[in-house]
Amino acid sequence: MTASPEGNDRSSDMRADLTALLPNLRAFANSLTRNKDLADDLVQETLVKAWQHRDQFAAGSNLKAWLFTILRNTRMSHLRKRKFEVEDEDGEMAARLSVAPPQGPHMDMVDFMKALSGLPSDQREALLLVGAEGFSYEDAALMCGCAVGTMKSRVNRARVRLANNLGMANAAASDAGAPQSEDVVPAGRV
Amino acid sequence: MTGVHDRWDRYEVLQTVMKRDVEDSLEMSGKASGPRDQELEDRPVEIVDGTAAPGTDGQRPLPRAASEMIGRRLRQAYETQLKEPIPDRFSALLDDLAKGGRA
Repeated sequence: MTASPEGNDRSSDMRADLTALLPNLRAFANSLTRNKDLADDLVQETLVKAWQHRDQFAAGSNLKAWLFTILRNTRMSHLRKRKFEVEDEDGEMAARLSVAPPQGPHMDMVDFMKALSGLPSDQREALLLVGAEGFSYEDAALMCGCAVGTMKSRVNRARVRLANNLGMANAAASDAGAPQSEDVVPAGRV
Repeated sequence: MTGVHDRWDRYEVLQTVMKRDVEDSLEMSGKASGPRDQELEDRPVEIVDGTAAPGTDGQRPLPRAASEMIGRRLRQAYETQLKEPIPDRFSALLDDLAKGGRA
């Protein structure tokens, strides 16, 4: 079977689009899995699936959101099948990964990544999609199959938990002057 | 040209998320940030414990400065990952796919 020139153009466009989005896919997968090899396997599987089902992608719609949804669903499928990642819905792991606050606003990036990794999976995912990738709450909710309010709540919980674990909440309050009652986030209330 | 476009895209994403950090902070602290929030603020709000704003699951709001700090750190960490070199395996995979190798 000979491919038509139009088909070749589409394939070429798709290849270029996928290449352009590779850094985002890898960063998202890395942040989700906390394992580079696993993340790259996930990205590879995502690319293959996207290519095989490229006729289902509506031209002009959001390719990045489509790819991220495939990646997320693939990961969820892996989790269900292999259970190769320990979920931390209750945040017990996150609590154990808490970082001592004295470093203040200039704490090491490693500590931040550690704290991010300690977030429950759904909160980490929500924060990455909305806070790092810049998806709207509506798009992120659609990608994760939840309500917009749930997505907002997850992002907020993630921010509060990170701030508490990194001692940012208190640092920010003291930076801003004398803390008012509404500006204080109590530790452990997340 | 692609590099310039990438940088511009990232700049736009950065602007979007920074703006949202501020809006979220204001929204979660119950302070108005725009017409929609002002409209919401004009409604009678049931105060549950005197500190938590609606939609925060009973949590106290995160201070705006802390919210912005979290946003900055997150983007810094994410940017670092975005700049990591892409392994050759992906280029080979896409070549393979384009040739119909795995389709």
